[in-house]
Amino acid sequence: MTAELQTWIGVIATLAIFSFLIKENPFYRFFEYTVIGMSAAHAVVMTWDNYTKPFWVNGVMKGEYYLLIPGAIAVLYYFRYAPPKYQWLYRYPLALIMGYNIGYSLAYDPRPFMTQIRGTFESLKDLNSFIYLVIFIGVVVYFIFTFGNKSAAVGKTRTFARYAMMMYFGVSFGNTVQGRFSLLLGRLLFLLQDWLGLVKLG
Amino acid sequence: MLEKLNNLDSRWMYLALVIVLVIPIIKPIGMSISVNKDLTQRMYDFIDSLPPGSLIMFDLASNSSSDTEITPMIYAVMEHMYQKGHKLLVAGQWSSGLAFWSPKIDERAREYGWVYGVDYVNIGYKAGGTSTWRAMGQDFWKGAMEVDINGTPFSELPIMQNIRKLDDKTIDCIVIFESGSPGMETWITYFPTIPLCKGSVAAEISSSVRYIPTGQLKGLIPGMRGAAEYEKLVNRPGIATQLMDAQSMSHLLVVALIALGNIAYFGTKRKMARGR
Amino acid sequence: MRRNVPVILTTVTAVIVFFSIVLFKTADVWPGRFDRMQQFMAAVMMFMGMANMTRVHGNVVLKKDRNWIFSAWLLLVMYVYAIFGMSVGNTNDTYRWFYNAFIPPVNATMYSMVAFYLTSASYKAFRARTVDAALMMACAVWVMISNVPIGDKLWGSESWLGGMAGVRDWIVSIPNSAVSRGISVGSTLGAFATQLRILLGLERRHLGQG
Repeated sequence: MTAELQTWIGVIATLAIFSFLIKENPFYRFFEYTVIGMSAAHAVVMTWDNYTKPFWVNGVMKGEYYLLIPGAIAVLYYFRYAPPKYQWLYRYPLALIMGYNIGYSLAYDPRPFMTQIRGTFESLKDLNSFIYLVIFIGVVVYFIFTFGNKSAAVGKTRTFARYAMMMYFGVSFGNTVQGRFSLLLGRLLFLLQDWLGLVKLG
Repeated sequence: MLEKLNNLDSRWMYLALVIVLVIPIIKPIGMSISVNKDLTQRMYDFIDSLPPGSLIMFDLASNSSSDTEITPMIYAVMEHMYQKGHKLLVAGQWSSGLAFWSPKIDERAREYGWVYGVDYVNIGYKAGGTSTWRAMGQDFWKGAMEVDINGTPFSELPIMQNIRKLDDKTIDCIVIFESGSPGMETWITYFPTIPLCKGSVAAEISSSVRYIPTGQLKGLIPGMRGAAEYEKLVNRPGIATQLMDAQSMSHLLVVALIALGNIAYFGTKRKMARGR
Repeated sequence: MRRNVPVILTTVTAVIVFFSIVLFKTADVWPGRFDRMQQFMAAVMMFMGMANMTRVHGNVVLKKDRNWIFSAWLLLVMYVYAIFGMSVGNTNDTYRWFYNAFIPPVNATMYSMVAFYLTSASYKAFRARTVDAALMMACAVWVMISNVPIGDKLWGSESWLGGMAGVRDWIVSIPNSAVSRGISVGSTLGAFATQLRILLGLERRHLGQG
């Protein structure tokens, strides 16, 4: 299997996906379904190779037998796809995972959060840091008083915060445009350089 | 005329976009760019300040769809590391990008004369979410299952002999190339003492910059433009620099379309008001 | 057994894990053990994605729904590629050849198509109807122009206020960053409230209980 054949498959796949811009068609759907299937398989292969297999060999087989207990509970998760009578069994591993994650989250999440809050108040040294603080407080007020408050001060603060948020969304949009066009440039470069050989960059 | 403009078929815009992008790819002008002092320059300065021989960890938290944004960033940072004599540890919170970027990293490493297992290593994808990285914080080998991406035991890789814990004494800096979640929150939350830099896809810039003033992020490469800036800083122009002209044209087209759309909209509105 | 035990299990696990971290912060026995167990559970659950795919697309094939032939193809590709990959390893040349031929081009093209929709949306939907919309549009246009070399040409970074890029940097570093931080406070408090609700057994939707 040659590099040329690989390029040709890439070209056909690229054009097939772009054909969706005109209309949905079987050509597009074929590549879409192929890659969904391959991607699911690829995640399994990477996990198996880099994680599960060495975990078994270098962990459990080397004496960490206590892991077989959580392992057995984890198997119950597959009962999610069992007949309805047995489906409830999947709740046990899920409950353990949720509990575990909440425990960790409650213990660790406040730290980066507090660093952010502290940083907002600590660095008050110039006009910009005051503008920063005012906008920050405005946005927090906006979310805390989403419902039910009819005070004029809160109303004005919320309007101000909304303007600031619009600026944020504008920046996000501008950056997203840059990002998506970069990806499109990559595809066009692939067609012009790797396939047609019209340009030589990089 | 205004009605026609208002109802313009999208496919004409698609065609215009392709034309506007293709011409500068084939015939680039080579306009110069300035470097973002708040983001790219900060990251460059931080990596530059590390003593030679420092160990930098790449976290590939992206998939191959972000190729055009992430690949030039990886190359530019690798070039900087080569110039400074740093060592590299590659890992990934996402399974999908590793297979794509690992061969590219190997290729660049060969060009620099880096020896695998001595100057750089790739430990591959580690599943299990944050629990895996925390386990590596206790015992790197055990947490990472003691094998690299090729299945080679860590005991056979000289560079791994000094990497026993995922902490600030072992890793001098983490550079995450990220396009979504899980991403830098893993490092900010559980490993706040390890300096963190980020190569970010453009869509994520807005939500990441808030970590810069607090020092939770030491610097950031903002999208392909940022990659071009980093290429300029390390003095090795690459694909990002060469595509900047095409990027200019596409942005101009969008701005022109926004203006045209508004002219058509307000023109029609005024006409209708006059008609009434 | 089916409804209440999982809820109690969630709470008990969360409390044990939380206190083990707080109390044994310097000792690495218990928090480390929990991580190890969680790691192994993730290893066992690695086939969940494929199992879900099999259920969804298997149903389509069995019912001969629209496009069932594509679903059958997806399942075939998925199983063949997974079995092949697991037997030869992810660094095998043939495995990587197929990966590089299909996955990066299709993924990248899918995402890049958004550029076309952004272009037409800019024309059709980006209207300065209100102050809010005008502000958003102005910031978007400013960022778009200053993010590319043409912005530096129009108003250079060496000139007053740092040029277009200088103004962009201010917008990004001050209002944009402050809003982002404010939003993160809102979302963190929301997440915290949800966690507390789960902990107290008031929120059960994750266990399929409404």
